[in-house]
Amino acid sequence: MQKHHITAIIILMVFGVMGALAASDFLALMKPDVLHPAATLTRTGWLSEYFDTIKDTGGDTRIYYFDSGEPGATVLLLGGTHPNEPAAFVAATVVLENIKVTRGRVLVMPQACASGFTCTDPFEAYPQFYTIEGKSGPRKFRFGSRVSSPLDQWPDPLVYSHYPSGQQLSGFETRNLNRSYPGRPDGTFSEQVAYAIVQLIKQENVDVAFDLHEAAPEIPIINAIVYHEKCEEVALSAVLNLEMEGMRYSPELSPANFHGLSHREWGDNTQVLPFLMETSNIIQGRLRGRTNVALILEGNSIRYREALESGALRIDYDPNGQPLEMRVGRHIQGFIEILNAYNEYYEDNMVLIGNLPTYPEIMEKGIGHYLN
Amino acid sequence: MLYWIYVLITVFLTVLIVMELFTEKNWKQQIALAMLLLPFVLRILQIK
Amino acid sequence: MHVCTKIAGVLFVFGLLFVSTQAGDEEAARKFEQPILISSAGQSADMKLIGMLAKKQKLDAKAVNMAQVSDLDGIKTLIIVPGFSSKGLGAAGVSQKEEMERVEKLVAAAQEKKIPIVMIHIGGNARRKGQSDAFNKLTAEVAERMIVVQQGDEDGFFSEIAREKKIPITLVEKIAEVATPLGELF
Repeated sequence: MQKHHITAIIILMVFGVMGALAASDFLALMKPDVLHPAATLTRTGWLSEYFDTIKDTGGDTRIYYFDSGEPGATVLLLGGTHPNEPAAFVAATVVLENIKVTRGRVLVMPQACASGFTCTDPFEAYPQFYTIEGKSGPRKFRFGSRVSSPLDQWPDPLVYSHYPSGQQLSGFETRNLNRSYPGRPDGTFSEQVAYAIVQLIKQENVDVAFDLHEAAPEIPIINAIVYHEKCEEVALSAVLNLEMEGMRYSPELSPANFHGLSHREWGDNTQVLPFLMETSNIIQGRLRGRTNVALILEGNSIRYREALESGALRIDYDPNGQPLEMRVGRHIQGFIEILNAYNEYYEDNMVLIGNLPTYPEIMEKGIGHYLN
Repeated sequence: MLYWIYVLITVFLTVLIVMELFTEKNWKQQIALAMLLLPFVLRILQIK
Repeated sequence: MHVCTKIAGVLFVFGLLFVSTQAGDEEAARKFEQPILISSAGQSADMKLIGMLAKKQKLDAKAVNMAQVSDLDGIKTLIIVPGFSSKGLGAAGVSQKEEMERVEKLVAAAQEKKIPIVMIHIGGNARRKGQSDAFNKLTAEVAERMIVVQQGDEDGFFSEIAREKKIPITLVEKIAEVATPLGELF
């Protein structure tokens, strides 16, 4: 054997070890998060029950059903549409681990974009996991990508043309679930997942649906409730009620000509009253600096504070940051108050829920206190 | 179908890189080729 | 100086103060007439909240987010709720520049027709600075009354305009508290 063959074998072995380590790190994201639903859970199902083409693909995801057995409204709560927005997933998880429904039904889908939980966004240096101390020990959750994994949908076109509007967006958005509604059965992977969710809304006769999100602090639509025009009164009543409790939410009307988003397409294509809520997530911010787990949990960045002190920051930024407790608390309180407002307007088709922690309770006791 | 064409291209390039790795005599170039090889192998295995 | 002159001087100053306070109170207590047109400046949905509060106060008001000059026909008071919203602009299908031009025209027409303008800012921090302040400034400066939710005036932005332009301003803690001073205007 020649000398350069020996070096080739040694180098291959070294890189084989490095590749194996990288692969094992990456494959760790394929392991599903463990959730412990409340004892009131009546059934666990899969999204593919509504559109079987996505069965055994990365797009299938669990749905948790809480049925009171009493007639009333059906509510759908989506977390994890964008897996890099952890307050949305954690808020849905807190709901499914605590909720008690006494009238109507609540369906919780904590990881709407299951595929996005299996990878992180390139070039963002996002951590893969974060841990919250729960009642029964540490709860480790995946921090994923904004969009579906390229392993599930590839390649991205240069320009993404939304179906059926023809609206054009950047190619990256082709894997964004919240640009893919209403979807189509023979479309891309993301369009098929979106189609399955729309089928779920139609087949289960969902009356009210929530899509939880977060956004970078510099995005104007943070701390907001985005609503379809058909549920304006419910949204505005909820905003007023939340403000009476000391919590400010900006009401934002869903633009009729911005397509692919849940608050627009669910409202236009189904019977449901859709609401989308946003909180401020600093790890998505451009000025965030060192990107680590502390940024997810504490929601504060020295770089933003410096920008604020220098006067360069032209956004409303709280120098104390927005910790995960605050963001999860806002989502849950928003969920409760929108349903209260809904009940005021739809007295004959109410949904009654209980046992959910309020915003002050989460701020006082922490999220872990409400994780089983 | 598109996926299998992609896999075929990736396998073809992987074989070329491995062959080049064993014919290359400069060890520094061999390291560069090994680095290049990694994403191709991971892509074939559907890992990354 | 003689004691009597001093006393007279002090009384005169007090008198002036009293008169100016009275004038201020009169201005603050001024009644506006109905029907009312409520419009946005910046297309935030805050305008809809004011429409809701006006309805609860049983005011004869119509809320038109994209109110045009022709909507002022028969109107006795114009309420403008400023605050920028990119979603709102998208919903209305207009650019920020077009929205600014619409508001400028509406304000000019109201002034020409001698329709008093009331500015109500309820969006707090979320509708301040950034792209909101151009709308806030434009509408605050032409208002004859201002009602502002305090969080939006933490830096004194509206109070300062109110002081400079001698516009009565009512600051409230919460959006729901706007209802009372709003009702009292009519």
